[in-house]
Amino acid sequence: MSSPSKRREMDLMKLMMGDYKVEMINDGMQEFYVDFHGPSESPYHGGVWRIRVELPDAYPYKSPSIGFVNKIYHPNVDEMSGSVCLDVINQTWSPMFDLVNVFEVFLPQLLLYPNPSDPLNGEAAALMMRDRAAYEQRVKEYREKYAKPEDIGAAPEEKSSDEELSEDESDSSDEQVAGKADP
Amino acid sequence: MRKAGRTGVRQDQRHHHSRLNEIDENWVLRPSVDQEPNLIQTDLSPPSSPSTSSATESRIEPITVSLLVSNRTPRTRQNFKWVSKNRRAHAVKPKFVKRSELGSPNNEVGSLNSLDSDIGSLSIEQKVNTKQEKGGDEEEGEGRERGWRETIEVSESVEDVDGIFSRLEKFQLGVEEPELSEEQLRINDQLQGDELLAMESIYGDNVFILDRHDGLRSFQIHTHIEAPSGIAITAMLNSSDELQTKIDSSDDFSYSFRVEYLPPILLTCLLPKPYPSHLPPYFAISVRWLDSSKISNLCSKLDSIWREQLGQEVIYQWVEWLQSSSLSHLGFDKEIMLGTCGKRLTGDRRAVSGISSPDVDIPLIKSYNDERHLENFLTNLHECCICFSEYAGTEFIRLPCQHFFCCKCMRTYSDMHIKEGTISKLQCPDTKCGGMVPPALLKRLLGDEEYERWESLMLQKTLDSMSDVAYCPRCETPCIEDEDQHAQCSKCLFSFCTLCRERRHVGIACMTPELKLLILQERQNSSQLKEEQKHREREMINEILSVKEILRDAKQCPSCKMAISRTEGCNKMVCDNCGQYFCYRCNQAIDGYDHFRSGTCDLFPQEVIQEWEERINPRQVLGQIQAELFAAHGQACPNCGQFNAKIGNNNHIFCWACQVHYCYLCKKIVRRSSQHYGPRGCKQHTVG
Repeated sequence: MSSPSKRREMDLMKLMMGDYKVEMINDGMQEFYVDFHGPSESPYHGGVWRIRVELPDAYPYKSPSIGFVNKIYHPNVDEMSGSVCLDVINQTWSPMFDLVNVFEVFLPQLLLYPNPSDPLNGEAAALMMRDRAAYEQRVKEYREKYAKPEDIGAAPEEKSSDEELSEDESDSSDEQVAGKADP
Repeated sequence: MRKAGRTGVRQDQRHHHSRLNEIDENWVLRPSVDQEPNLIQTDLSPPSSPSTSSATESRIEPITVSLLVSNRTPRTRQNFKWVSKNRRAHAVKPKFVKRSELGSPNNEVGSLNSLDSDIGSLSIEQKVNTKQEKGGDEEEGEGRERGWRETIEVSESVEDVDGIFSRLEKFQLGVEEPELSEEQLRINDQLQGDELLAMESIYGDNVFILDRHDGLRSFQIHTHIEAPSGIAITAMLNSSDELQTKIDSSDDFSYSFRVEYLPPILLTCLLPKPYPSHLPPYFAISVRWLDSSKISNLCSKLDSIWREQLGQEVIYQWVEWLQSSSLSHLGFDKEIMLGTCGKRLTGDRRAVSGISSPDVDIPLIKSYNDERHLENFLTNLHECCICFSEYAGTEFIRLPCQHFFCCKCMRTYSDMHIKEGTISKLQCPDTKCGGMVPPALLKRLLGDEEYERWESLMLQKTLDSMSDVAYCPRCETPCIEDEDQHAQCSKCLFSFCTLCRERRHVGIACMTPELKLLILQERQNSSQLKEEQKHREREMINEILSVKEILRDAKQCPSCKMAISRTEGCNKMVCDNCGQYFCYRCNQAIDGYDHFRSGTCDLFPQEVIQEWEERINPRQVLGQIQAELFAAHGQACPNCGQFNAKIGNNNHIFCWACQVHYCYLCKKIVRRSSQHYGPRGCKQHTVG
């Protein structure tokens, strides 16, 4: 479908213009990462989550798939896989919704008002109902652990330093082995 | 001499009048217009000198010839060239045809300016002449005005063009027209012709010219009043004639609405021979949304405009005034009060009001407004809000809920839903609307096949929602199910079991599909079977085999038994057919995620998680493999507790789960490796 590519471009552009950091995966305009900041006035505030968006072929007639890359503690997000069974996304999707809608309205709404009656993360739902303060505390803990801004942006840096060390390490181990081989 | 002239005129008029009734529908059309431009253009050369009249003298022949021609041969309209342009944009449908646009518009425009100056300068001449006869004029004017006042009939029809013209002729009958010299008549005729051309070039499609046999020009000009920011129209709903004097608005109900386009004001004119030197045109103003008194007001204003500049062409001023100032003159520039008809004032006969009653007028005004909006929409480019491409208005489809989308998008959208079978979601794509898509529109949009599929899906869906409906195996008609899985078809009277769709078997269980398959396959080999029967049973075998194949991979929805196979995602499935949630692993009907917490079924099958992780975090997989390989030497991460293996001799461990580095030896988080490892700190490389 050629003409929907204009739609995809527009949506992506609108997303980028809306000050979202978008990172494409392999230039096909099918999948990309978006950095999503926790909405203010929620315990998620201050955290940054990397969200993987996949646009199906039939986009915009079919809804995009949304998943959290780094861990988030939320009743409606699966902790292991990060996927969101967002009812709005799947069931009531309309071709007139766009990505900015998703990131401006749906996701913040989900984070601000989790739906404990249909939880993917049951423990989180139960905690939220039982002890709101503890729930918020937990959210913050996870946020500190997994959703620091550096976690999102720092990953590539860490990788390079890792490689450096491993290079060093291989050298030294070689020497060591060489040394031992003597006698 | 005057008297003779008068009777002469009168007879002519009467004669004309009867003929009008004959050729009611078929107005004679103007001869080819090529002749006219020549006449006009050559007149431009000598502007304001008395010699103009002499200049036109020689050219009078063509005019009179053509007049004579038209007088003598009323039925030779087929010889005349004409280009008609039907404007059906509004309710009023004039029964005569617009004169074609002149062949060389450039010349027209170029000559227009000079025309104006000509007219202006010529009319100065006229004024000089008319001053002498002014005394007579005024008398006539008064007589004429007296003639206008008559009682008005209720609900005059604005559309009745013939009626209006006959009225104009009556006006003419009531007026004593002055006898003029040949020269004066020629001048007037010239001026009239010029003026008409000017009107046509200015107002284009809005001028409708009527050709007549007595050489008098008549036409109708439509003045469209537009209010881009909208104008309010208010109608009082329970006023009646007798309560004219009562201006108590608290008891009355009023209804107000806004429009951007108003039905046009029609100015119908009949130019007498003494126009513009002595007499103004006979005119009538028709408005569908003003009552007679208001229109009379307008008529008086037109009269005063004429009086301000006696002897000059006045049509343009009239039309311009109607266009720009008529509403404000009536005090209607922000809001129009719809009056009522039937006011038994002795009003102006020149006022033709189209008002009848609010229940007729309001829909009329609204529909005119809608038509114009639609016209406007169709001719402009718009952007479709789904695909963001620009198309002309004609490529768009508008739903009853007023939302519009381009044809391509609607088609793709409908096709997709029909292919998927999710016709219940086939509604207005707008986010909050959910308006219905009318079946007629779908029929136009889809191919025949898809439309049929839609129809059958709709029927199926409706019947399925009625749980006790079963289809007769023989004639496929829907039947109502009784108790005990039994149904009888009303059409063919076949009594069958709703479970296995065979003949009713009381007390015996249904035949299993496997057994049925075996029996059928056996029977295929039988020689006693007739060809047709054999073929039918072959079909049944295929059907059973297909179902078997489907069920091999797929699961059945616990409530409607629809076969569903999962392509991707988690184990929480939604049946598209009935909306039931169920677990793909164990096939139970569920509600929410509780089922997946109880322990038996995982929400995500392991393969899916694995795939996801490989895509998201390749290092996780690596880390997990390494953890297994080097399980002996590993340490739980001090930050998140994830077990990570020590790679080789390197004590500097990177936790794939929380992305933190830590030391295998001292089990602490390491932020700066150069500081932590070294002669004084931990050794980075140790064996074991």
